Amino acid sequence: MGEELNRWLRRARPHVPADDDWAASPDGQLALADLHQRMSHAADVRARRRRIWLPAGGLTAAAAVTAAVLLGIGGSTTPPPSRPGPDVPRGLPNARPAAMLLSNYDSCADLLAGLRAHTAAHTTAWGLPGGGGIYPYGRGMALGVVGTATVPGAPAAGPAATDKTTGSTSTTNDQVAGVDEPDIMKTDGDRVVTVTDGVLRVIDAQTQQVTGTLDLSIYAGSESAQLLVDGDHALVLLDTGSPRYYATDFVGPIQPPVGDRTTALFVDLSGQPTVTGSLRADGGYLAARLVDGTVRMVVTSAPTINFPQRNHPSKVRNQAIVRSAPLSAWQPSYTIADGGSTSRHQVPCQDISHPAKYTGTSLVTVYTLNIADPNGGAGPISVAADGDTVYATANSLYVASNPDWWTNGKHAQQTQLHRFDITGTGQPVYLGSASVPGRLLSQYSLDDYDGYLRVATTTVGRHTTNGVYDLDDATLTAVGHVDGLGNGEQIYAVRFAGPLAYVVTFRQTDPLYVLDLTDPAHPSVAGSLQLTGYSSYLHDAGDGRIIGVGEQIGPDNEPDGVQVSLFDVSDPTAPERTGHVVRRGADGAERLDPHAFLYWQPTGLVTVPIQSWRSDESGAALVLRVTGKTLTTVGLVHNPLGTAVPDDGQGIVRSMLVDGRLWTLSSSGLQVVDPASLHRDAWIAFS
Amino acid sequence: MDDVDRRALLDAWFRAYADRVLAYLQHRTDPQTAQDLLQEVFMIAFAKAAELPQPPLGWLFGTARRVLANRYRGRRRQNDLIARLTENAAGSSDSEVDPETGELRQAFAQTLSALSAADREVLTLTGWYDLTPAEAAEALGCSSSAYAVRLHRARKRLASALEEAGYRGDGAAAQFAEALRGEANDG
Repeated sequence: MGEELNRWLRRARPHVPADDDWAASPDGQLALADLHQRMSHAADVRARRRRIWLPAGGLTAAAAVTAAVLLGIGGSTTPPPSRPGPDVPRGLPNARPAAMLLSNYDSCADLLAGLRAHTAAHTTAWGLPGGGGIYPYGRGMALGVVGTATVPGAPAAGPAATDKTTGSTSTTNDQVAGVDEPDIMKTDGDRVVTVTDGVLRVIDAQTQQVTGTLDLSIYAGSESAQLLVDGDHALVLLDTGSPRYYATDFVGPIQPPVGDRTTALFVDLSGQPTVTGSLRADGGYLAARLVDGTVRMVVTSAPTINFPQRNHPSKVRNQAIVRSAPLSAWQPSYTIADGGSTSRHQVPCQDISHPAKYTGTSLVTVYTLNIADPNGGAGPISVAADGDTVYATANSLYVASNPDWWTNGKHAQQTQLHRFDITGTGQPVYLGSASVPGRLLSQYSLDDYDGYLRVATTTVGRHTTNGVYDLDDATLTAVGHVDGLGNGEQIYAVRFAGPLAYVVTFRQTDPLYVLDLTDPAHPSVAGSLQLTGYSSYLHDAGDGRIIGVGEQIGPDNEPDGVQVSLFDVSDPTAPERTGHVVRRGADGAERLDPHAFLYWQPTGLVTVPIQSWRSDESGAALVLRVTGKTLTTVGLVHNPLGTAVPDDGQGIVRSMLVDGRLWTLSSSGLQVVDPASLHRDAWIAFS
Repeated sequence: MDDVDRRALLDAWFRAYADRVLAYLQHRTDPQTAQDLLQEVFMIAFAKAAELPQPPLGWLFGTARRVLANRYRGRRRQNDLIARLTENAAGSSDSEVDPETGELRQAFAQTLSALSAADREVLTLTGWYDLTPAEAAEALGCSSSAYAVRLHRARKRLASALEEAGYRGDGAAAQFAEALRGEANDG
């Protein structure tokens, strides 16, 4: 069937190295040999460990403490002072003092000239890299560079009872206390708000009844909607690459298709939940943070430039088109609707900045939204930069990007960082940019503490290595760094906790490194611990304890279930595992979504989602308890299956404590259990 | 099943299927991660060898999907498929692309990005890795009939997206849209 169709599909298929009879090639044979080694017996595995075990403090001498490297406007470098060892990376050649970067163009004309020149330099015969630009069918669509994914369940993590949650009510896990991250379940102790499968539900925490529902399925991207809640107001965040469904939107004129779109819906929760307004931004959704009722939303967009005659690729012609494109092609635009009126805006040119080096093919825009009022937010600002990772404190927002692997090759081993001041409720201020070697694992790879931005990166290559860089956050200048963690391995988890950092690298075994960052100029490895398996998420449990969630590696050196570890790190030079729970045969902890993890310090309650590879079984929540330095299993919670089990039925995806009871969310509904006995109080089915 | 049997089985599976599973991963992530995930997939297959359906191709793809989703869980970005397609359209992976193929690839990248992740998956799984409908259904964790419905709808949506994007007439992308619609109507 469909031979002609398959022929077309085949022609559109990118050729990859695997297509060249890879399994029979030397590379394929090596990979198979590697598999056989992994299958071999544990004794064998232990014998093959090639890791250099690092005694406490050993790295301090062996590696890399670089002094500040300043780069002037012209790119002249001040050579760093002394540098020990031949293998030490050469400082941070691209780190720049922030002051150099605040060179907004003097005028809109200069801005346009700069954007044109930089974009033209990156224009190809087919348009812009990453798909930016629109094509000759008039209304065309521009592909955003990032943010087109619709993954239910998003980034982030951190324990947390916020100011508003008191007593025995938790939030879901955020990275930074008081800086709320969009998620699919929120509570303030009185009501629980969820958004799953395109439906927002309000549940009364006392009566455990659904008191309101709002069907969001008319909005594109609703299946992966996330929300932020503050008092009687919620903000629903939608990310969509599909502009064709806007005709059914609730307010305003039909939108022409323009490519990636990010939609924030303002929802009033005081009665039946209702949409009271929206902000629609051109570009792909990247992240949002809520601090004290003010939401900062980060969107990336590509210039919309019309390249005609797609049948006749021409770089020269396309560059000429870029050089004559109007400023509006780059200016991110957005629409605010409040039920009564709709207004269209563009980011004004004086609010568009750029780092010293940029491509012009992508812009990062930080929107400010007042969660209670669609028209109440300060104006957005844009920076000509790319972005894929966002980390924020109450005062600072960092957008980071790792260049695309396939187009940048060696240069992909870089992380670009852009800092914004988000203090208060006003317009953010772009403070500057920097770049550090290596790539980020996630937002948890970044941490701003005591005036220093710490960045944990992996540099992949023939000699893969990991390190942590200390940057003065005022100038974004490198002050010091420690390198050489887990050579040949990659970072699987990282967590900063005040002056300490914990890093897990993995290839065969799980070294947990404890880094002492007390002196930013001289970060060092304080201690380390070797275990089988690895952690993919680390959580500060307080009192010198760290919880690690990850994968157990069995005696045959194969994944053998989910493991949860309790580490005693009260003596950073001698970390120790004091608790260990393994669920053999369980899956799903290779990459834990931090939002799915729960730790409640007052009672030591821990929940971890457990998945199953079997299609007839849904995931569960493993409930544990931390008492002192011990970790014990309380049991497993399963939510009943609903009538409409989704394809990838993950089972329980979130847990939180509401008024002392454990609430577990799956797409089929919400269960309320006693966290000690796991006896069911209530089952709130989503129908 | 003893260890020797399992190893022999794994060898056979690797020789028969590793190319296609790796291609799936290389279409969606960086080369290093693709290699890592391929290892993960086959290690899981090894651990569960006795339980796997025969032939295990659909299961291997289903597992590849899950390990990939797990790898990207916690990041908004799902995978790099669209970026890869766009690059492909620009001809960076082949040395030169004829204009017609270039147009087709450009059109596919643009319109596929407008579809849901589920639609993208069903369209590419079916066309790119030589999976039978039963294998594709297993990879997607649904019944064969549900798979047929999803494929039918995804093809219709892609055809409409192509048409709305202005690919009409007798260009490559328009012919592609026609083929999609033909299959959608037949199927």
